[in-house]
Amino acid sequence: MAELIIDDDVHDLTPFWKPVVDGQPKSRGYDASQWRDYLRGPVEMMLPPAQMQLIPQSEWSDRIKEMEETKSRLSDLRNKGMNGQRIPSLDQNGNGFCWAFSCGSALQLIRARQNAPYVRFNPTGIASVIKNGRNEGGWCGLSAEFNRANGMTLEEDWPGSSRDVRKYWTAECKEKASRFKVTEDWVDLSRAVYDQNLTFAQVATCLLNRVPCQVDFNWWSHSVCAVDLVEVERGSFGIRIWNSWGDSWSEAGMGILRGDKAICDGAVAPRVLAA
Amino acid sequence: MKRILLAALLLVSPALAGEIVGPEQVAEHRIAEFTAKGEPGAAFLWDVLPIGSADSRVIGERFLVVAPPGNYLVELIEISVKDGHPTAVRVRRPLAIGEAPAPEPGPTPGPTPTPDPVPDAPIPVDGLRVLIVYETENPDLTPQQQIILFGNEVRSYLRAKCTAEPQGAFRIWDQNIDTAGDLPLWQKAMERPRASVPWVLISNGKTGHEGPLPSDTRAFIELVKRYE
Repeated sequence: MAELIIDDDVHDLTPFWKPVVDGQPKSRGYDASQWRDYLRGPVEMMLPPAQMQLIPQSEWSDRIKEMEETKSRLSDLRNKGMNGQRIPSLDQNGNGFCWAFSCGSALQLIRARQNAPYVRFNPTGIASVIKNGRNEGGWCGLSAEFNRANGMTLEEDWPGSSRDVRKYWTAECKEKASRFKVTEDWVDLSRAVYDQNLTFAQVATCLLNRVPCQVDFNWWSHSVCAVDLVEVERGSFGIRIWNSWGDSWSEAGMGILRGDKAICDGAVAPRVLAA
Repeated sequence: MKRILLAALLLVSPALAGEIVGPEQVAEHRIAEFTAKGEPGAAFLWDVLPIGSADSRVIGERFLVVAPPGNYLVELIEISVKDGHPTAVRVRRPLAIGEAPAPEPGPTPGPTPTPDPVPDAPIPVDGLRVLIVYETENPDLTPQQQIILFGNEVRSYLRAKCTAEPQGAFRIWDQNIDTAGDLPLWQKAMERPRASVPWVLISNGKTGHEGPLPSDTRAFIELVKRYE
């Protein structure tokens, strides 16, 4: 399947609203309506992480071309990240845990960037623990917060789409998950988890520095992992995203968002993952 | 204990790379004083082996050592840029303090050729291994250096040559990474001193190289080839 390009001209959002991939209905799970449950204080204007040194937009085009030519994009690292083979896409498989799978996908990419031995994460585990077994939506900032404290569950310890916390959240599972904590990230910790975001220029800078971003989109009610900055047309930039609906969605699980569709409503950028 | 001396040296005559100037023996309770000769503008890292056996200080251009009677090695690592490529050279010389045994006389008097110093392996385990360390927060990398870290050419090369692990025995790490989950040999490699980032460590189990990351892919691969 050719890589999907989703832009402002796409008016029929039915495939994204009620996604079916290979006959299997897929869920999303980013829910902008539940933020009141997590409200900690007055909602203020967002302030992005100020310390990030932005790569000027005038450099984006040349850098993208160079990254394509040298196969040094995060998507290229994914293609060799499993002992020289492509890392399979994660699959949230019926649960509305996209907001945790965007974290899992980002961690898969960071391990590939660090050339760590391949492991397969199953973010269903951390989402189930956060939601105490309920199939509920969330935000990328929520999974990132949990990960910083508790790590990320592995497929070998938490198989498939089960939300059985009592069965799988064992001492061994916790211990192994704790090895996969993000120790440095770009995140606006002055905001509540539903309110953490990055500007497009910050997301672009992260991607040019090979830092994946967890990104939430209200228009899609979905959270995915941003992988590459792309120049769709001369001077028009978008992002390649890695979805969590398996490899059969779009091209090997990756598609391109551009225009307003690429402007995220929530974002965090994990930089360093424990080895 | 590493000491860094960033002063440029004014040399009257051509100098050997990373030459240590100082005594081979000093009396008990005396200070052994050393200086370095090297490339103009080079940086120097000093140490005394065994690690932790002696007190040492860098004061200006001088390296001072005080230790109990015994035999030691004074180590100097010179870091410089030659023909646009960063290089690091490690040299060592013996230091006897107090009643240390005198060296045996050689068969003939006069100067004898000194072999090139062969640095120890940074990772004392057989097999080619490479560790690149950088900073992910606002990385001070040129686009060409980013291609070393992330580009397919270098990674394919390392995967083919560093075969001690299934995915290739190399790591590309942030300087502040928590290494507890990886193999002890990588943890120890990460604990070694670095003068700056980005930094590269190359080891084949017998010898190796530690120094600033080269400027581009070609220079990097040429550097690693020396230790295949």
